[in-house]
Amino acid sequence: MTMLADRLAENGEGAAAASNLLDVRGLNVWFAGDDGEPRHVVKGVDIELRSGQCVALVGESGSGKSVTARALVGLAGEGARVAADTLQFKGETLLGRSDYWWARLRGAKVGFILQDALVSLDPLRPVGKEIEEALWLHGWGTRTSRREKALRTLGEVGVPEPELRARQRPGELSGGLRQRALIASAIALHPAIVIADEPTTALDVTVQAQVLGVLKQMLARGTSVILISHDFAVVSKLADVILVMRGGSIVEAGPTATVLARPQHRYTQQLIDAIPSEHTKGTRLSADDRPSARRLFPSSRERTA
Amino acid sequence: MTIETTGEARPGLRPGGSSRLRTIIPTAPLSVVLSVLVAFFFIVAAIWPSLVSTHSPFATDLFNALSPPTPEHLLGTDDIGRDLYSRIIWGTRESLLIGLGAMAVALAGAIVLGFAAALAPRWIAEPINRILEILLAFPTLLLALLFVALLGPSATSLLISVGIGTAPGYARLIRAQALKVDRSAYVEAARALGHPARSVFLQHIAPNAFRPLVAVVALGIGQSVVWASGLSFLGLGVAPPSPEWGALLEAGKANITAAWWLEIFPGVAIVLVALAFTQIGRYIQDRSEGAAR
Repeated sequence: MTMLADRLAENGEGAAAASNLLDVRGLNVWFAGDDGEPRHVVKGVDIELRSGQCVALVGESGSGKSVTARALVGLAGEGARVAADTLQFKGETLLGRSDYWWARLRGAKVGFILQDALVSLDPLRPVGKEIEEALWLHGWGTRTSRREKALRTLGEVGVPEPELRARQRPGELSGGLRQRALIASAIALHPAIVIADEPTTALDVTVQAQVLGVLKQMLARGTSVILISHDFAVVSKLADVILVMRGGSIVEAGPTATVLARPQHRYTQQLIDAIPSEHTKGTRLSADDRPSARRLFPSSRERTA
Repeated sequence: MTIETTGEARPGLRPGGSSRLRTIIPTAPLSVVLSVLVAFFFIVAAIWPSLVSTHSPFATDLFNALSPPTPEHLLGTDDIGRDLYSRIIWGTRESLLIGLGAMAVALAGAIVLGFAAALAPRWIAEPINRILEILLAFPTLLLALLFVALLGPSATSLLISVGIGTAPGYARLIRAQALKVDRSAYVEAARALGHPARSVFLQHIAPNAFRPLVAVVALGIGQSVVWASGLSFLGLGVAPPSPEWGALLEAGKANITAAWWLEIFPGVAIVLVALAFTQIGRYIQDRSEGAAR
């Protein structure tokens, strides 16, 4: 596997690696298999994340990207064994920490937006209460200030009529509003890193655009984002760096524009080929008929170039 | 057709308090409205029996012994002339208390065992699961009979026995709910927000696991009344002269050929209570499932 640091150095970005917010080297995750043999699901993954940067983990279902992201916040799952050469957040190791320590980190310093917003909010609790609770858990403010902060955060992520929506339960909100409420609860405490696991899956294109807009605003404010997606179209709009995962390993890593324009690995090429395009409508996608990345992603952020 | 609206429209708002009640009652089916009325009548009878009874439940009138239903004795009298209607009314408290008490005992045991079986470490959960499976292999009545035999026939032992007999079923239900909720995305989201384990359990797992139980409790009260009356009828619960419904059936069976009302009306009371609570329970279940969708 090509080390991400080497790839960044090739692109003249190695100097910045010293001030990483998140430094992951040689991350491995195993799960206990049914036959008693451990299943190696994440194999030697390296991730470097700087302030205000968006790193995307891209790959098909089962490639290990979600487990990788969950391992970063101590939520790899029941029976998971996590090991790494380096696993540091702001220079502090994340290895061997207690449950209490993880609970202090999650929400306050690292926000996590789960995959399916439609079921990721407690059906019995009004969404405003959910956000207030996140603030209360980390000892933030008074009851009144928490309530005001929850309404303000809902407003920040583009929820219209926050006073009304805050009183409503998830079942009374549309998919887009639920996703934004979920994002609001994850970013209420302004964590340094937000991990967004397929934040636009199961949303229609209009709502997808709204959610991507919210994530872009977060990046503009200096929040770092780890974006997990199988959708290159979404990734191209946000990510500075793309890590392509397959079978638990990173098979290609590099700046977004480079990976999209000149994919080095056949699997990356196949993922790009899999993007539906009007130019390939009615035809089979093949290596000979692949759409140009530049044509597909004209809105790639310029600073990634 | 002209539709006139009054008041301020508040789209999207959950109706709260009395306004919510006003929206529920007109939409409830007739069977549910009737069930609520029946349950209300029996609850009033249990709390304040003298309000709805016509005679003392223990006053004898030998001149009117085994009298069929008449305007004086609405549901007839027993072999020593006690008014059956008043006895059924005065027996309501005991029958309902046994039903509610048994349900409370069953739930208390089921909550502890169910949550432990789902969420405790494997070395605790596994033995509990095996015990529950063994208990579930026994029919409820047989299990209750076993405990009545151990504790002796009385209202308290009846309540405990029916509670223990029905607890394993509820425990498995709570276990299944707790497992489902524990693995749900919103519980994972709560952990991702920094909820420690205790807070995840108290604020997310427990309330969501309990939600379907509201309906089960209503269903279970009716069922417990039936179980308790059945055991009393077999002479293993409350004994005559108590007006508990099962005991009334037991006392009346000696005169069943001469006085059909002694068996029919207490039986009808049991069926009415069981049906009313079952209907209310099912309605709550339907509504909560609808809300969950």
